[in-house]
Amino acid sequence: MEKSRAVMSGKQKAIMAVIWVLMAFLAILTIFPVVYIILGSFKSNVELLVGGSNIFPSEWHPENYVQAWTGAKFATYTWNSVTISVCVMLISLFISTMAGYVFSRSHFPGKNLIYGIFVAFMFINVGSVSIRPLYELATALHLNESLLPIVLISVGTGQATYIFLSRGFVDSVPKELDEAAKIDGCTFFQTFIRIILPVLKPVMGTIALLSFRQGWNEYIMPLVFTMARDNLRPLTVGVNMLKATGGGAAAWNVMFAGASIAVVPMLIIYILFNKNFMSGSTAGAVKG
Amino acid sequence: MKKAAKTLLLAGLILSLFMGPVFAGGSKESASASGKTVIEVWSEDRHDMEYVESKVAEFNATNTDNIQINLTIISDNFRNMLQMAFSGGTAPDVAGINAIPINMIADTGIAMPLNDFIAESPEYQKVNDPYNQIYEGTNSKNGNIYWIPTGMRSGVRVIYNKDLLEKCGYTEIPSTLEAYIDMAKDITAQGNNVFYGIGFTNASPFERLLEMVSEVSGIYYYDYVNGRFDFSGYKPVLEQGRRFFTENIAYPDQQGVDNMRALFSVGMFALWSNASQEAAVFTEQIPVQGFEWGVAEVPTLTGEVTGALETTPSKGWGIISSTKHPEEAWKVIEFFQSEDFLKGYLEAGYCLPSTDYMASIIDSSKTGRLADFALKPYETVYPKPPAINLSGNDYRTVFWNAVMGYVDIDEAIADLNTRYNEALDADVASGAATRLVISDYDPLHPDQGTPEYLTE
Amino acid sequence: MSNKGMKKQVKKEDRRDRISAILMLSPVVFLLLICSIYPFLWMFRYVCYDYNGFSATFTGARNFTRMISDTTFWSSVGHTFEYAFYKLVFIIPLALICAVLLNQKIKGTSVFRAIYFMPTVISSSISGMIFTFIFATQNGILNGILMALGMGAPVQWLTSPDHVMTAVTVLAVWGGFGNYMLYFITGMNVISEDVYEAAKIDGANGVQTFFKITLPMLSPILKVVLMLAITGAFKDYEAIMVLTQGGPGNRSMVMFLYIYNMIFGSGLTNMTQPQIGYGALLSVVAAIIVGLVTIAYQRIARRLDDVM
Repeated sequence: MEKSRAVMSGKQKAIMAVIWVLMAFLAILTIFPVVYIILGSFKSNVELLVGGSNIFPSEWHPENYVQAWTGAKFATYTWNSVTISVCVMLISLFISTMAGYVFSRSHFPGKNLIYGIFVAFMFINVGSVSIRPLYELATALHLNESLLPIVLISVGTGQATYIFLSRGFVDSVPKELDEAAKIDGCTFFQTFIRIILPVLKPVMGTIALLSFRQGWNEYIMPLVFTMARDNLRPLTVGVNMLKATGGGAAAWNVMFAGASIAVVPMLIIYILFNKNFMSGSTAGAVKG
Repeated sequence: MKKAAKTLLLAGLILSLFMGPVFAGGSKESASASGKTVIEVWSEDRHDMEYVESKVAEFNATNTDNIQINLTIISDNFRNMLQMAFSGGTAPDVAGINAIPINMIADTGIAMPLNDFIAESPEYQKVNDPYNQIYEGTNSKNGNIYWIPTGMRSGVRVIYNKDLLEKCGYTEIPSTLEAYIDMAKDITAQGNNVFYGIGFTNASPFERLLEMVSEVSGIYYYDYVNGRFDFSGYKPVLEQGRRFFTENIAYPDQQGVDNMRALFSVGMFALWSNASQEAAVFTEQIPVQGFEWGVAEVPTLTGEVTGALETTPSKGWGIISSTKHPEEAWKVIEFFQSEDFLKGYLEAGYCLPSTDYMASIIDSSKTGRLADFALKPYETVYPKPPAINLSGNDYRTVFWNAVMGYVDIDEAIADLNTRYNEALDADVASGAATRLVISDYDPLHPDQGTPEYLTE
Repeated sequence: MSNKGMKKQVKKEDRRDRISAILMLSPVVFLLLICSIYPFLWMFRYVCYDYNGFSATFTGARNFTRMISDTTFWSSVGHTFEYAFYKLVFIIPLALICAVLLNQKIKGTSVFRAIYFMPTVISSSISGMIFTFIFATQNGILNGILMALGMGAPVQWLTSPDHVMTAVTVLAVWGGFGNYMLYFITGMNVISEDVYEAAKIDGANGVQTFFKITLPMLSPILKVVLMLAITGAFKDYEAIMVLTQGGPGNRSMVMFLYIYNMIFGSGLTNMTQPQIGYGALLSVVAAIIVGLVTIAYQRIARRLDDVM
């Protein structure tokens, strides 16, 4: 690739420059609201609420962060969010790639029926209704005192997409690879671990990122499951609980500070994944 | 190949590390090591948290009944949370249930009637005057009392920017709606896009002015005498309210309540209206900057008050019926409704006192601007019309759409009359609701009639 | 070893493979049963009931007749289609173009990629909140910029029924295009570098390469992404709930927001109560609608396949 850049003509260079400018413009548009929250989180409540075109605070109020951090238990919330997201990510990664592999490679009666049900439930979305029976189920099983049901439900509601993605990827892996492994004496499961998983790396990066984010951003479900347990709340719930009800005005600046606190760890994770998973060229592996 | 296995192993390790806390979770110390009885208390109020928490800490340290209060604040979706917790068996022992509709706590058995507890507690009776604070359909049903308010939120008041009014040649708030709108129009005209006459929020705006103007003009959506919904009376108020937008009087944007409060606080518009919580908002949370603000009564259609203005009893505590410690729960309520607790609470200006006794105890010079919101003789609590299974929008949304001109006023009224009454008839027929009838209903004293519940 | 013995051996292995396949599938099936099928059946029970979370009253076909005459619901269905259309029309081409461009070796792609993906990590409850500030008519930053660029009167993004769909679409595209971009980039990782090299040697320019190579090779993943995008667009409601609450005048009320309001009774006054039975019926109808759209899409996709 380095070579091809060297031989770029002047015209191509100009096109590249135009593209670059357009992309930078889009990047500014995209990042602007994020900057707006972060800068807003340093404003006084009135200045933030009145709005206006001045993006920078006229007076910096770093104490909003102190208030968010101490007024609500943000350290605990952050830990809970991290726990939920990591667990959702690891479980999703493992079970959905496995399922994608089985759906692609195995033949047993009823396989297509099960797959059909998965696809069907991708669009039969009962959404908010499902929280009620699931909460009742979790309390009946005495699971409501931990983060476990949140993790499992989050995995359960997101998995269809990941299975879908994994299956598509395994489908594109040449069958000769697993046959060779079989001849080498690998069992069905060993083939998965040794042959398929390494090839699935790019899609695993995507699944890891998406499922981590899903766990991080869950809101209504953990809101219900942690209602009586302040020390189990994740960040999303914690930030929204900073809202005041009925009796007065909310401290929006503190909420913005809380929101910024909630966004930053996710960004760090993203940057890490961006480097590790997505940049590695995996085409070779698939090409076989 | 080995790498994949290693990754997997690593993943397993991390998982087990994280799953530790996942399984352990927050263990509930129902009977803590010290042998104290833990009473779980839920509240949806965050604004008074500091005071309540400090008092609770004091109580936990000093009470002689071996009670430990565990306070949880849930400021989002409180009603549904409580309901789900109750059906899931994780409900608290005591909860601040004053904002929850009575049918949800009474018919379902979530809350326990407090009649016997109240009868045996002379101190509670002295401070809270419970037998004069029974509001049919709000805190009591069929003779059962579920909670007693410790404070009142006033009805809606006009809150105005004195400096802007003076600048435009006005000194007081007119008593008729028409003159009120004319004044707002004049101020907007003089403001010349720098300031405006009046501002509205997008969060339930109808309730914050026009509905209350209707109430004091004797217009209400439920016909208590015949036990039916009747929205026809609102027509003149809606037609007047329309002017705010056809004549471009109002501030040209409707944002969230707090945004509009902030705009008022910097002098962007002259007239705002809301209930007594604004006393604390405009002095502490969003302090008014650089001008004097006044509080006045809402205007009426004719200038005469011909109906009662609705007030909201607040900060009432109830016992959840699933509690295993009703005696201790009651002790906690006695603490929340004790003279000592309430004196500090009311003096902090969180709400108006609801009893003459507490009003005489507190030092009203400490309550600040709340004094301006003191209750008027024509303010009272309305008996609650039946809760129904309504499809489509509620009347406040529909009426605001009519004021904005999205729907025709007559059509809106006809639509609401049909939908509300069809739902009521169907719910009464199926047994989901009862029809409230007060044959001796008086619009100026809605709370003084004799309520009857009909099943047909 | 005799031939027969060998066959037995293979059969045994097959059976073992089958058992391990079923075992490997069991976690996802278990979660599907718990998280999707069980709530669905639970909900189905209440379709003919008035259910407020405590007492269920059988009402026969009343929920059904209510639904037929519930104009708010049917207009919300219309708005859902409108919203999904706008969202898809902008989000898919934008995501695809970004993915293709980011796949070029331009300086700073990893930074761009990180930035484009950033909005998707912000939960919709928070992004809805920010955009209410950005879209404010008088004091919003967007109108401030537009007026500075010479626009005459401020646009009532959130308070006028004419513009609210634009605002909602902007939020949806902003919050989602990074997601689909990621799918496309993942998909493009499969396309071998050699194919591009070959195209370059043949003298194909960027645009030709895109239409001749990238797009056809992406078509399987494009189909998957489109389906995810369609079902996703029909299910969106959280951001809209925070941004507009479905207003003004129900102009941005989408069906899942309306259902949410029915089930949680939020946004309603004290006089109404949660209507889980009715909400359940509406959920079923909404699921059928989304299902029909998906089937229609798959038909079209198959026909396109034949053409290509």
